[in-house]
Amino acid sequence: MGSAWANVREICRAQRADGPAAVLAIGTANPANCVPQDEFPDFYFRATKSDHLTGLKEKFKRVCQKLGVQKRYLHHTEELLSAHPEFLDRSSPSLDARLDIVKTAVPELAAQACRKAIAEWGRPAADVTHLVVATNSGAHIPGVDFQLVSLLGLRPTVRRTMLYLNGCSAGAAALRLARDLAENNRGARVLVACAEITVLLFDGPEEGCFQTLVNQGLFGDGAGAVVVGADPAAPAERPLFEIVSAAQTVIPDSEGVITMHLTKGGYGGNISTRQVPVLIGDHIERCLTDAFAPLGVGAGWNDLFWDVHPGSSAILDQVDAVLKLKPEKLAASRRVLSEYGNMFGVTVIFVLDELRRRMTNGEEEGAPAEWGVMVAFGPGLTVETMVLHRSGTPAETKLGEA
Amino acid sequence: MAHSLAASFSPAAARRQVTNVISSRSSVSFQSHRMTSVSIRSRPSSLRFKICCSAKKETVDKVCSIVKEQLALPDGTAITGESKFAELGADSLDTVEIVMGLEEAFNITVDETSAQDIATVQDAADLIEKLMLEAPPKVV
Repeated sequence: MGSAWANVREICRAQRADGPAAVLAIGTANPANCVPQDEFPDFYFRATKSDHLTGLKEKFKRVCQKLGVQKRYLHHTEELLSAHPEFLDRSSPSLDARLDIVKTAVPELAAQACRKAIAEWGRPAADVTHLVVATNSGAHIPGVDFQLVSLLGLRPTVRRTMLYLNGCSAGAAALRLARDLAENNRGARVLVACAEITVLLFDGPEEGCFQTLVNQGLFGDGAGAVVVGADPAAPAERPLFEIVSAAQTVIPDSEGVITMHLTKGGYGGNISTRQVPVLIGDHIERCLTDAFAPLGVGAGWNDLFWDVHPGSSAILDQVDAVLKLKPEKLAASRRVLSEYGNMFGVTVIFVLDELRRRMTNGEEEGAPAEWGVMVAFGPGLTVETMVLHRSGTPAETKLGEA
Repeated sequence: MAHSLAASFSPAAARRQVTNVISSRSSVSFQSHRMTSVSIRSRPSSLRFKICCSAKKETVDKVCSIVKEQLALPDGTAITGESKFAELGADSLDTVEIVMGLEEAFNITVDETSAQDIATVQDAADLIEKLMLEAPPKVV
């Protein structure tokens, strides 16, 4: 009995990785249609046949100026919208048509990002052992994960996890799962794919409805992919960041501040543009302390690099203020918000890509940070925190020894 | 004229002041005096603005209530006519939302130029009453 038990323990230990999971490659993709923010009000009011609402359009221009977004990529062109007049009629059912659009567009966009990540990773797609996919854009069976198997040439035995409708924190959640899978399965190479196409959110402007203006001016389309694996096989595999810990928590009394559900006209729901930043501001330092204290990393907030989900500029401003961050600390997040808008869960992958680009190009302001953190926010309010370590810096040896 | 001016004043001190002026002169003389006074020497602009344009207390109170709700301010937060939106934690995007809420509540339309001049609750209340006087209420 003791002998058998010991054997099982040995078998289980042998199945686990030796070291921490690491980000081995990152890929991003966007639709071809780029929309400068200063042209969007004209586009939006023209496409929705709302040019007669001149006062509302002036307000929308101001909203667009204040959101911190300079341009976005959107799958829904004027041609696509012209082909779907039902998208503008709130009393007309349009969910089926929207779902038909994202059914192929989302897997295709996800595949673009995945191909870039796989190419950077340098090993064949058939070496992917696990696939974790997250999207809010659609609700199909079989899902985006199933379609990616054939689109990418993954092996039939790849172990798939599909996350639908998890909100803006889904990208970080997918990476948390990937880390758990990689460390619990020796040799695992996990492909994470997140993709969003916001045609399900598209709606015409409504007098007196501020929320619609924010939604139409803030969200963008994009896809991000990450290859995660432990014990990189040098020299073929090169780690970018070690994932040292990952956690998820819910902020008390916050279940109503971000909601989303399927309606016959696409997505319905609510985002409290005022309460979300306040709740994040009130709780973020506790989340971060909980993440770092057990690690014994003696770093102040301004010693870290930051991958904060740029849900809005108000959220970034609140994080800045509460943690007393230097302006350069959230520069990557602000740049991604400015260049792409809020792409739901995809956005933190773009920020991570921007961070490593700055590190690689020597563009970091101030002293290069060895330790960092990813923070994302989603419905609940749910906060995902992930402690990251930049690969190739002194602590790596120590982590290897641990 | 004198009657309508008196009716639009809410602060008791302002009403007493106007009453005193009225009781000592005929309405025609009052008008003449006021114009002469303005042309001869500058009256402090804040005082003139206040006498001419101060909004009713009930308008200010309603604006306070809407602002408090839209900024999700905690109960017990003191908001008065002098409260500045920036000090209440409102950024410029919040101000757009507040103006839209006020338009809905008072059934008015605020043009962009006027909206950008609003810095305090009093500014908003004053503008609302000015707009309500200038245009008939929109009929649904």
